[in-house]
Amino acid sequence: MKTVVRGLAPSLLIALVGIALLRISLGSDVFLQYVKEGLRYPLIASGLVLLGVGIAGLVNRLTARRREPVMRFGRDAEGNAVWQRPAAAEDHAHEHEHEHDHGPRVAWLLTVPAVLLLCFTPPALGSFTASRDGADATMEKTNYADLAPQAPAVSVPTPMSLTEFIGRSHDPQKSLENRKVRLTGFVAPGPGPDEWYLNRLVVSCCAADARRLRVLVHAPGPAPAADTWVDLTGVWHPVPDAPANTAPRLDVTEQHTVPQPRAPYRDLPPSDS
Amino acid sequence: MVETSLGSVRHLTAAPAVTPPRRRPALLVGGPPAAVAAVVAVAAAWDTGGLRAWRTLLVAIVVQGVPFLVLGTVVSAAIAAFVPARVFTRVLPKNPALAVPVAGIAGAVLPGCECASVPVAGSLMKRGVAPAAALAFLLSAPAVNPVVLAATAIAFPGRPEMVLARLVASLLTAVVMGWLWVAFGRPEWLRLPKAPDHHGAAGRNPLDEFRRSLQHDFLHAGGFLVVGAAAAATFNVLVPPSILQTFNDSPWLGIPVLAGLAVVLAVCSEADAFVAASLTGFSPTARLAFMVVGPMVDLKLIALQSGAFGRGFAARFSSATFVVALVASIVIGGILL
Repeated sequence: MKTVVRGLAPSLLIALVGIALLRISLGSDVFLQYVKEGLRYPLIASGLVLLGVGIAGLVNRLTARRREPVMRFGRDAEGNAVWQRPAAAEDHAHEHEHEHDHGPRVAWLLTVPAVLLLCFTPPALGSFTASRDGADATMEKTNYADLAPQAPAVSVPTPMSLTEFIGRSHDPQKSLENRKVRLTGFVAPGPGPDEWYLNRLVVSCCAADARRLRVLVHAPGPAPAADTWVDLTGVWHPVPDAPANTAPRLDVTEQHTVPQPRAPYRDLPPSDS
Repeated sequence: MVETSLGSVRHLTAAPAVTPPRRRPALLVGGPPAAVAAVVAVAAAWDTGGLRAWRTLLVAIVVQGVPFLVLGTVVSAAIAAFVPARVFTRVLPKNPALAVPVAGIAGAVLPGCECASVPVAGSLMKRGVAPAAALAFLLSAPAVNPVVLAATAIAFPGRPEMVLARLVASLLTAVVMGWLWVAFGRPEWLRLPKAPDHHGAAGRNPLDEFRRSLQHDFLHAGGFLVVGAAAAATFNVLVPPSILQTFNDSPWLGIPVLAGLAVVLAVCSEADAFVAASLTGFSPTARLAFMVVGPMVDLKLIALQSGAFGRGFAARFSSATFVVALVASIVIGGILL
């Protein structure tokens, strides 16, 4: 019995990895917490391949087992005809067969990410990564289109991605001045009282290459808990003579807690839908 | 020689007398269930920010790598099962020194990151391709394919010389490493993957062979991918990014520092251009070194190589590649950037 299980184990393992991949990519957006959007179909395809290989291996193994005879006619040392159990007679012959299917031990490490994905589903990177000291990603000098005119009294704020907000804060045209904007991101603790950071992490391939975008928020009252996603309305607060990679400052007039967006690593402007 | 591979087991069936005793890998001394239980217990008990980020990073690197690993193992299993050895001997020049550049340029056709190239290189060697040529392919495939070059062009807008420098420096490194192997490489350094066994071949069709080889290659490489991902995630969580600012001012120190960073971060080759673009404090040559070293030497790749070709090989080959890639980046960066 033990040999059966040992023979089945690699197929079960590879099927488990396949199931874990399908679980996060097929009809689910969980994979967006780890990798970029474009990997959805490669993930589904490789999940299906792995599951298929696992199932084929299981079927192959189980049917091979059933095809084996219970007793076999053979001859003993003196040449007398005897019935032998295949297990005893072919012990040696089968030994390598089992080893053959008994996968490499290091492969068992694959259960760690598979079990994490299936049972724990690690969350998207958040305030721990965003709060690490280090240079902020500097914005490329981009020319932004003129914003639609907005009278100071108009209460409809302009939704903006953090990339655009930070980029425009360096804009020599000062296109952000006296303009209400709406930003979405998650919260990380700030350097002083009534100060905290609104963050986004952007990813170009997987979470290991996450880069931070952040805005220093000035808001009355206690800061929301770290990692909370918020939708902020406020006005850019220019800080004269700040170095180029300092986070721009936003004075907040309104703040709402919102659920984490579908694709946490895509820096999109907030939308009402 | 510690991990138990199918290769050594096949070897065992062929010549039991010379087989070294099987040892358990040091990695899993407690046995698989104990290791899994320990990891799950740690994961559930320690919900601190760093460990949470570590779990996400581990899973992210594995999830990112697995599709490419599947692609690589499917290609390598297809080579092992369906492509006869004579195809390669006909296509590649007989002389290994000439086969190396051909194989290096052929690396451009395998789109994907480094996870895909290790199993393919292994199955090329099994099929009788000269190891030097297969190694040149192994190094160049993740670095010079069109997807990676396009990503580099997007990450460095308006600077096509960066793409050219990356292409030239990566090809140069791959070819020089292949030639170094021709000149100095010894077969015993390379624990060559054994040729597919033919015992019981009568009842085995190519499709079954394909399935077996895919399952084995994927599980083996996948286990090492997890090792590499765990190491890279650990560095990512432990090393604060601000350390890099220390080296901003010294242009010469910046080059080895970014090359070393490429090794420990193990960012996939399609994304490393974006990371390099964000390292604004460093010289263009240092960023080039980051992009040349990254796809050829990193923790994930060292783990995969030691799984495929043996630990001794991975240590020698990776350190030599690191030096060659560094020199190639400095030379090409000095000329083009």
